[in-house]
Amino acid sequence: MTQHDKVGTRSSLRLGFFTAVPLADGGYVGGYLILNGVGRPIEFHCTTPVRPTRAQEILYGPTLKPYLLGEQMAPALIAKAKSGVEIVFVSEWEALTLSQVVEQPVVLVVSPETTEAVDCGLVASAASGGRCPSATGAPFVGAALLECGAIPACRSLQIGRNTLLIPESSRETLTQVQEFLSPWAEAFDLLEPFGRIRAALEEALRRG
Amino acid sequence: MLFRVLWRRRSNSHAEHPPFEATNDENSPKTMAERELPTAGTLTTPAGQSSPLETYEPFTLSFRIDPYVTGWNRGLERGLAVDTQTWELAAPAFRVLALNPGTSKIEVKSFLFLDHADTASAEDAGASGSALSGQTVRSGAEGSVNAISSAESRATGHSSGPRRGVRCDAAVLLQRLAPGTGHRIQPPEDVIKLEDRLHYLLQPPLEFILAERQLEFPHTPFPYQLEGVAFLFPRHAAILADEMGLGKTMQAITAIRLLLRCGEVRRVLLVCPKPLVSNWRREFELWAPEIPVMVIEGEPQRRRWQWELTTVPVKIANYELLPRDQEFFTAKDESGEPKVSFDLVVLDESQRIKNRSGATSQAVRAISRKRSWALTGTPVENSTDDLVGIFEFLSPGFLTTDMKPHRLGRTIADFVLRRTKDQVLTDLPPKLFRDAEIALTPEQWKTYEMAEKEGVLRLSELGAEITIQHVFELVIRLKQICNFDPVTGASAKMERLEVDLEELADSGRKAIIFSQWVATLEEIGRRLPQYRPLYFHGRIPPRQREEVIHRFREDPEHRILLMSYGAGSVGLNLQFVNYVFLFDRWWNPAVEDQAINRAHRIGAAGPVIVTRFLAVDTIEQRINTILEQKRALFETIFSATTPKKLALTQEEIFSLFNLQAPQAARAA
Repeated sequence: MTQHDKVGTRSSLRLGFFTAVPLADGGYVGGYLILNGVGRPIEFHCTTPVRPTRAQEILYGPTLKPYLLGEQMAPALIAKAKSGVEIVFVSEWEALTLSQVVEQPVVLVVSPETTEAVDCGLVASAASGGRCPSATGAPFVGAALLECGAIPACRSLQIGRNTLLIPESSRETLTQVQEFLSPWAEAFDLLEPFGRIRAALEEALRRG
Repeated sequence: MLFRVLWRRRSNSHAEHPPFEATNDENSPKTMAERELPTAGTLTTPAGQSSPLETYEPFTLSFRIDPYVTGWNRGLERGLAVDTQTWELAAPAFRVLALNPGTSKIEVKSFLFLDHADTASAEDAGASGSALSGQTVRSGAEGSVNAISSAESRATGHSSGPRRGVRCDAAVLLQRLAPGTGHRIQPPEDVIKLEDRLHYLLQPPLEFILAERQLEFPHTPFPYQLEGVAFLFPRHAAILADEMGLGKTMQAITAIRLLLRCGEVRRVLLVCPKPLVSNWRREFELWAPEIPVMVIEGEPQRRRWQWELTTVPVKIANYELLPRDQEFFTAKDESGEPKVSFDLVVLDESQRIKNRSGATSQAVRAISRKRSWALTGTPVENSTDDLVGIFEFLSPGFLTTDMKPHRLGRTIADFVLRRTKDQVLTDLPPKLFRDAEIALTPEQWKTYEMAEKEGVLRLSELGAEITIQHVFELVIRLKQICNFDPVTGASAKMERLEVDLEELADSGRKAIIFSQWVATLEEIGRRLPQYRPLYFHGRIPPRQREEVIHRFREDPEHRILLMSYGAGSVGLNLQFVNYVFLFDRWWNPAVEDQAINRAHRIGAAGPVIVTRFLAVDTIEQRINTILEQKRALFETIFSATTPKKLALTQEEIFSLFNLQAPQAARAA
């Protein structure tokens, strides 16, 4: 059995991408795009602007964004999707909390914006047992969240040109992701679809 | 008053300290008092040994005070009056404030799209689906797509189709992309529905689509060319107005190719000037070898059949043919629907339809079509009316002639894409202008002066009868004298040209010489036999023109090409030429630019040197002054997209001889 047989043909592949755009007056608007194996859009779901209440701001503190993105917006969007996806990719480390809510593997695609967070401790090392390691010693805003388990510690994976972070909690996920993506590694720029979502969200906001 | 009291310490081994001293604030008056201090004990160490250093003894400390005898000092001896109050302490009231963070209410909007992977496989099997519109194409398209598939097999089988140099696989474009970048297809402003707009925005970058379709190119497209393709692709009405030489042809063909491959269009008509038909066919073979192309030509019966044929994806027709064939492509079937319709009609050199009342313009507008594109390097040759004429084809009624240039510019902004070489081709060799100001020979000057005086006198005598034609005739006569003296054959320009050609002949370079008259070209050719001149003008039959260009390109013996502005200004690629001579000047700088850009375009081997001959103190200089002003104006227009008049107006033509344009001429 070839790799392709195992994971199905490229055209049947379904990949989900979630990102959220901050609003000028506070809050976020989120978008979830499902692509087929040739990168074409199948479904797009977006939220109306989600603005946290003052009470949420106070009570959630630094966990507010992980809560909103990973526990509120992304699950709501995924719930509306007609197609199931093999993997959900997220662009922000705060959205990794989604991995504790949905069954699909949730993978962070590392971008220049998230590199710092990754360098500063999002990736678990064997020595630290996944507990807030900090390679550079620089303060990482999510350190406390990692400590308390609000954000899962991750393992890093390089597939083609993409650097991915996969929550460590599920060993199976790593294998799954590798299996799904390796055949198309060269073809995918997994950061690119987030640009489409942002453009679509901006358009949706502009058009009301 | 602050006192510091020190103990006196007795030591067995040390001399007795002086009596303890009491100090107060240095600035306070000194007082004395007696006070008995407690008896000092002896400190004992844990081992039971006395420590000699820790033994103290009592002593009396006396203070002397000198009170003032005042009444209030007595008061110091009175006891204090103490009053008490009692408060009942209330039991603390604890209140509980419940702060519920709640859950955010999330509203979701959903958009579903056609799964393109399914259509892609269907297309491979010979059917076709519309990737972007979500509509399935009717069965009539099958022939077209099958034709593309079979032609593609031939092309990829390396057995046929032009293969110049190393072809570029579109996958290479993708690999070169930096993460998160690429040329995106932006929705045009006239796409209103949010769902439709999102559909465009959510498509992958153009590079991805090209790579996914496994398209090949004869060479790597420039980024700005991909931008042009991304501009054309989603538009139903568009003008690609790039400066000459930037590859409008390639951009249009690639956009057509992509639309056909995506199933967005099935039947495309390309209309171009007759001399360019073979050029377009060649370019299609080069850039889209898998697409079958048919040229509409031949006897009327054959042409009728060609117009009605539905299985050919791309047809090419020339402007001259359209008025004659109008009855073929406007015929209706029993249900009243046009027998001939196109998904896309592309007009090359679309300035040909700027005159809205012309037969060509009317015929073009009568073609049934869904999309309309115009390609032109000079969307405005003379006035804003030119643009209105083109838009009558693109989107009838969208522009009106009374629109102010500023408003016009804003209105058309989303429909027009124009780039200049300066903007996008920073690596293109420079274009150097040399203005050769030439004094006429004495013989020429004598003839010229006489002709001008007589001509102006005659025009004055015409009075109110004068027309623009009368003035034109005089201008043409004077310009011809500036080229060659009709009496003696003397020509200062010719003398200069011969000197220049001798220079460049030594370097082995080739040159194009432009004139507006065939007679002038023939006279030049007659005097330069050593350069084996070739001719390319209106009297050369179209079928021979390609051969002329081929010989000029390949045969090193042919050093000069004599071209008329009309025949040589559009659609030819002569980038192997380094020298261009404008023996006389055209009325409109845009036409001159087109002529020059035959040589100065992508692939140019080096700098292109343009020599513009100008007879000083003659009508040529006067025209040139006006044209230079207009050229400057044109450059201003580019930046603001506010076209204004460029060619000489009637008033300006009359002013060449200090004549007033009469009312009749103005009205005309």
